[in-house]
Amino acid sequence: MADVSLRSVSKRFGKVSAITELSIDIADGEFVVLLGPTGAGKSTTLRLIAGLEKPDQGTVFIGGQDMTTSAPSQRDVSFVFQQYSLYPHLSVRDNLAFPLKSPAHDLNAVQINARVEYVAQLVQIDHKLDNRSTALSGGEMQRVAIGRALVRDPAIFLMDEPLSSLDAKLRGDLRVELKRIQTELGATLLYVTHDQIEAMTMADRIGILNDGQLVQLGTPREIYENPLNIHVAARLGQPTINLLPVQAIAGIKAPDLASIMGIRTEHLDVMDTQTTGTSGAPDAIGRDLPQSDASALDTVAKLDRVEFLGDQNRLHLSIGEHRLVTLGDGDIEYRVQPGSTLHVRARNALYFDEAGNRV
Amino acid sequence: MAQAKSSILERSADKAAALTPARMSRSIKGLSDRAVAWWFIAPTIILLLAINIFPLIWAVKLSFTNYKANRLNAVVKDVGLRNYERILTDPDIWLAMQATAHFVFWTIFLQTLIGFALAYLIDRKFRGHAFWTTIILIPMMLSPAVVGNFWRFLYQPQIGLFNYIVTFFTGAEPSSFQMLGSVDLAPWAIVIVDTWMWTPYVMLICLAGLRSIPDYIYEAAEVDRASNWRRFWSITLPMALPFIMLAVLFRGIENFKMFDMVTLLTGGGPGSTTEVASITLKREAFEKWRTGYSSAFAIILFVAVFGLANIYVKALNRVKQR
Repeated sequence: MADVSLRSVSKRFGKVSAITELSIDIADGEFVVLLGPTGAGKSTTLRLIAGLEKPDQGTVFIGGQDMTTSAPSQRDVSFVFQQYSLYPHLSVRDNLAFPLKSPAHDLNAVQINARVEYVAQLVQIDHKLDNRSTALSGGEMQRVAIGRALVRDPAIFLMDEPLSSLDAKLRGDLRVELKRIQTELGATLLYVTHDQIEAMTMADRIGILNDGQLVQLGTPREIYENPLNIHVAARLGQPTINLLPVQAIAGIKAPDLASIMGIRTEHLDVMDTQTTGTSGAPDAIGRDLPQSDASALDTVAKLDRVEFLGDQNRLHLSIGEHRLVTLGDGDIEYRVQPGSTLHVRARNALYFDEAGNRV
Repeated sequence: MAQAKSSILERSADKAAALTPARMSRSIKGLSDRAVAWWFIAPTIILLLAINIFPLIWAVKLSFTNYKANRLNAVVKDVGLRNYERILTDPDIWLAMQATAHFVFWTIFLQTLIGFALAYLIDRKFRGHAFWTTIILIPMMLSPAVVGNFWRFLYQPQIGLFNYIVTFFTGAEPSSFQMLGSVDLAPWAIVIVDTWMWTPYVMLICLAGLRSIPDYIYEAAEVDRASNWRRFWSITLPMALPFIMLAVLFRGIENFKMFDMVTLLTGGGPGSTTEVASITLKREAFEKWRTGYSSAFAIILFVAVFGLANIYVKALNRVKQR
């Protein structure tokens, strides 16, 4: 295992700039997730580290050595591709053994076999070792692909959306599995995804990419609680953060430069106005009602729709023409009906200026 | 959105239905789908029966007789298996089979080797590779008649370009050897022409095979630290193998019944050194008019090709399933 650094790396494909001046340091044994929308340059970053692309500018260091112009085979990386990319004419066993048969590893057949069996157990594919690799389900193929990366002990594991083509359940299982394996091996791992749950649950640090630039790099909690701009704030959180123009709503007290207010769903509390009126003690719908910020939103909204999700409900609200989403208890629809008016109050709001940067 | 789309489709289907002439729609309505399908394939089936299956059965029948097509009034006798017996014990027939085997083996060997090598180079996608592909394909597009006559000129000992080029490289007198006239060289002369003409075809099939290997397989192998050599042996070759085998099958069947080029170049000579099976067959059938005998020979050839091709296709399927 080794650390990996990119120093102001840029890469263009024709007229399209895929990566601009990207610098990132990945420590030895660290699990870093690159998160961003399609076309943000996530895969290109991985391919640059693997050596499958050569940067136009900048330097790639692996284990402290300048590897910018080295061929993939000299870099000692392993790569899990999005499209599995198993060798279709080989059995599962031969696929897993393929990287070990390189002259870079001086292993005999017995050692190779032992290693293959160990990894096959790790990714739980040992019962299908002698199957043809094309006679597997999608999840099994992807486990073989991950196994083929794990069979070596490379400087860094690079994984390009390895779970994106799997069904939800398998994705959840493999997510936990992958994190466990990584911790066990103490592996350096750079993982690309557009799935925020994968990013949040597995990453030591998350890097948010947008338009070929690294917007923010930090622990999941840092990124979630302290986003640098609107883009980062909107990337994490399910449902996405509520964004309201500060001027548009009467009663919002915000910092001077702020033009947009962001309220995460868990920070948006709702109260039934009727109950408030009669008893005087607000009856919180959803959770205990703390004091509101002095500056925050404190107004009335209309309930448009309730989405029942089992353990919780999503409440779709509107304040004038602005729409918001918040969460409520699973049994909330017994107490309020769509069309009724609710009192909303925000805590811990985030403020952004006109350019979208945090105030 | 999806709903709007489907309703547009439905509407256009309705329109198309309304535009169908009433007469046509009525007559189709009178028939079941199966009957309509039969009407569509009937012409092909009838044609196939008339010009392939019927003559085949007729030839089987003739092969057990002493029938001669140039003596229509002679009494036709049933001779049982005598024709087959005579063919299989005839040394001339075995010579013809040897000539055929020599021709088939070497053309396939050379065409596959050169064809695959060319495909491998073209697949590098260098500058102008499309142009060179077209240039390479030209021989294949020519008529065998043209190619045959053309190469007779090239092989001409005094003025032929082929002899001139050999002279240029070896220093031997151009008229000291005759490609088509020498017993030793004539079989090779035919192999060279067939290879020149049909290598592009093999190249095209191999190229399709190479192009079918996705780039990411090579990228994976590169990351897995496989050398160029290993990438070729353990990825390129096995993954292109079904295509190569298909090319071999096509060329094998085609060359087993090779007739036109040999007729044009040597006519089976000198002596009978280039007399491949189909030339012998033609001599027996249409020069000596031994119709029954040649029918038996044709049947033997047919069974041989059919049997070999079947074994081969089984092997091909095994490779494909791997």
